[in-house]
Amino acid sequence: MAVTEDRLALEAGEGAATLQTPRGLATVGTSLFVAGDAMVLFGLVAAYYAIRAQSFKWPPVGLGTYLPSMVAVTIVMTAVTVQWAVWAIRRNDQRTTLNALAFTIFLSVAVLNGQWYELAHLKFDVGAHGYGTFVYLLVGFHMANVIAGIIALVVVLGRTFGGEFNADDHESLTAAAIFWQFANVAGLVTFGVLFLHP
Amino acid sequence: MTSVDTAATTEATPEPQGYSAWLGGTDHKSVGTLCLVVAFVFLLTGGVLAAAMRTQLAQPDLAVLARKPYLQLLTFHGTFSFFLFLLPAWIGIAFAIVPLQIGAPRLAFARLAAFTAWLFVAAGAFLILSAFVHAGASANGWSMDNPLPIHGVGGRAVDVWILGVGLAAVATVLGSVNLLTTVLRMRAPGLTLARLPMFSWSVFVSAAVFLLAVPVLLAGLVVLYVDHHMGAHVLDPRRGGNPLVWQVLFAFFAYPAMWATVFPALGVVSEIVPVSARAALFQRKQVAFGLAGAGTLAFFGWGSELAGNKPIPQILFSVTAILILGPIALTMLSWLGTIALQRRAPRFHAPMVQSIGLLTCLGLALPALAVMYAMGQGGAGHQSQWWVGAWHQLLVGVSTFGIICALYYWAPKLWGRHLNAGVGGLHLLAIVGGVDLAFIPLLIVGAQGMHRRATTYGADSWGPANLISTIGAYLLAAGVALFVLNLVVSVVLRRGRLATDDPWEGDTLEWATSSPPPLHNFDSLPEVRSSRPVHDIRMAAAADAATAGEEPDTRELVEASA
Repeated sequence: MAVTEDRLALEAGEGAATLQTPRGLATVGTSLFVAGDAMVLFGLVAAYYAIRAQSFKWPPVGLGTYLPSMVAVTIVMTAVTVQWAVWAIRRNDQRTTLNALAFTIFLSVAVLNGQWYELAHLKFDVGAHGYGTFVYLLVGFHMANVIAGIIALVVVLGRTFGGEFNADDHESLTAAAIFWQFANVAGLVTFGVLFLHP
Repeated sequence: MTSVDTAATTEATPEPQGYSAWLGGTDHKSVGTLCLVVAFVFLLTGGVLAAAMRTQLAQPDLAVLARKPYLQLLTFHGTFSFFLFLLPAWIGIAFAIVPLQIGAPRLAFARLAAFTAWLFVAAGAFLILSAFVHAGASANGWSMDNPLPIHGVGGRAVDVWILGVGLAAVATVLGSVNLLTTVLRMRAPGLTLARLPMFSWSVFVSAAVFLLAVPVLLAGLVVLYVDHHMGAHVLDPRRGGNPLVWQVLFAFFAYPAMWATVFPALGVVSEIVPVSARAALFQRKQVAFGLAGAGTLAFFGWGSELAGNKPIPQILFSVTAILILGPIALTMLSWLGTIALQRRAPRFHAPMVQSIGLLTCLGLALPALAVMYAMGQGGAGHQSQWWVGAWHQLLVGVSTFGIICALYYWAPKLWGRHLNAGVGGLHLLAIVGGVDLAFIPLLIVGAQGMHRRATTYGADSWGPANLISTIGAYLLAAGVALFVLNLVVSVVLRRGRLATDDPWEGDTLEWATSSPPPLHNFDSLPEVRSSRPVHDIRMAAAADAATAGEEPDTRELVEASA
């Protein structure tokens, strides 16, 4: 993308207006995509509550809250560390940015691992009952976002390592952080809906 | 003088030529063209299916199609016409036109746009494939709820259908993100949101509606898939589920999304009418707010599609479904006002003539919809042929007709060739006549209680109306086929009249570049000081041209102003 944008960073010369590389494409685009992504979550949660409202016994099986709580705490930690990376690059502190991103990726792999362990050790399958179906669907939705987020974070980590970002130009990093914060919101909503107040 | 020289920096890149340009390219004009090719393939396919269905219904007790194949065609007709015709057609036109209208060199995410187009191709491939899987195509209807495909009902075809529709939905979301970002971030200097051309504004509203409505379908598809394929029973009332979960998620998507295919058609006519009348759009700001209001209201009328609701939400849904017709009707009045308030008669060039056809269809669709929502579930309600007639008047007579108007208006710009205006008059009559003959009789038999999914009927009294409807459907199909033929001969075979840069004396920025535009769209951009920048230049130069005794063409003016 960088090459294309460089090519389009046009200057018309002395005295004329300059059509610059449009700024904010990645952040605006990501924010809009996140709005759509949030509507998928909204649809699933609405379906969950519709089924819950007509069930006599909910949840049909009790689930421990220990592991989900640990995952939720880790999610909150990644929310802080990814923001730390954004603040660091705003100060042009590339070394701290690298550390914060690496730490975020480490924690997000832990989140993924925790969610995976959770699904793998459930005593019911996706078709057992309504609650079970939504455990798989909502946790699965969060995991899909986490996987996409980890890929985005690894890419910006590589680009930070290559010295592509500085205080003035770090839009992709901000965009990845925006997406990651949405994945976190999805994770916390999932935690609240399924485990905290099922 | 503010202007931008965009030519120098793009000289190094060779422009891809011919078919490789739109097969492998990321230029927004060729990507948009690719979307349109997909759309027209499925428009013709969906039309042939509809003609077959209307043949079965031409007379009482016919046996052209048995019930199951009829319902299979019904499912394909709905799925093709919406997911693979209306969606890719409007996204394709928007991809091709919006950057030109806002003076941008490209879309915000060029490669994502190409990916979007190819997602539509893949979606089409999977949906066609679903006809050939074991046990045959799905017969559950385009809303997949008759019957609901839980526990393997409908067979493997439903799985493939879910995949195909899911891909088209993802393509729509990505296309919407792209278009919204383009409008928000890529506008030329001076082109504020208030000065945005009406077509770009209508695309902006539609893309916002798609962005918030279509993901809900994806959530529904996931639930449907686990119920159909993995033995879950979220939708099974006998095992603690509720079929309304799918129906609500689908309606929450379908109702706003159907309106979102209407708004760009209104946007196109709101471009053509002022250019034809040589004036600004009458009450432009009110029309713009009206479209945004309609986009908002589109999220509140979905529930009236569902049977068995409680009275209070049913009334609220009906009221909002009627309210949304208000801004649409005001847009029509604005077009009429734009023309009526001028001393000179409008120019009846080909796009304007097509727009008049659209206007007549819209004028019939609005009362039909109003009556349907006022009646609610009774009489001419949602389960009868009235529903089919009213929605088809809107989706064929406006959404589809708008695509035809758009291509008459912009084909000269995009491909450098005019469509044949004489043939245009011919298919205009066929299409307007076809829409009226095919869908007005459906209102009548619907009011008399013919079910919307009836595959045959015994009552002799429905015979004449259904026969007229079938004849109308053939006429409509012939008109659409003639239009596509016109497009192919004029543009693909390059038989159409060569276009000048500004054939209609347009007002907006796309007329300030060559026809077809270069890869980077603009060699130089005029200064934008109103919603009609090209008109401004023409006016400013009019005095000079008058003294010189000759009329310079628009692009010379643009370059002179630069």
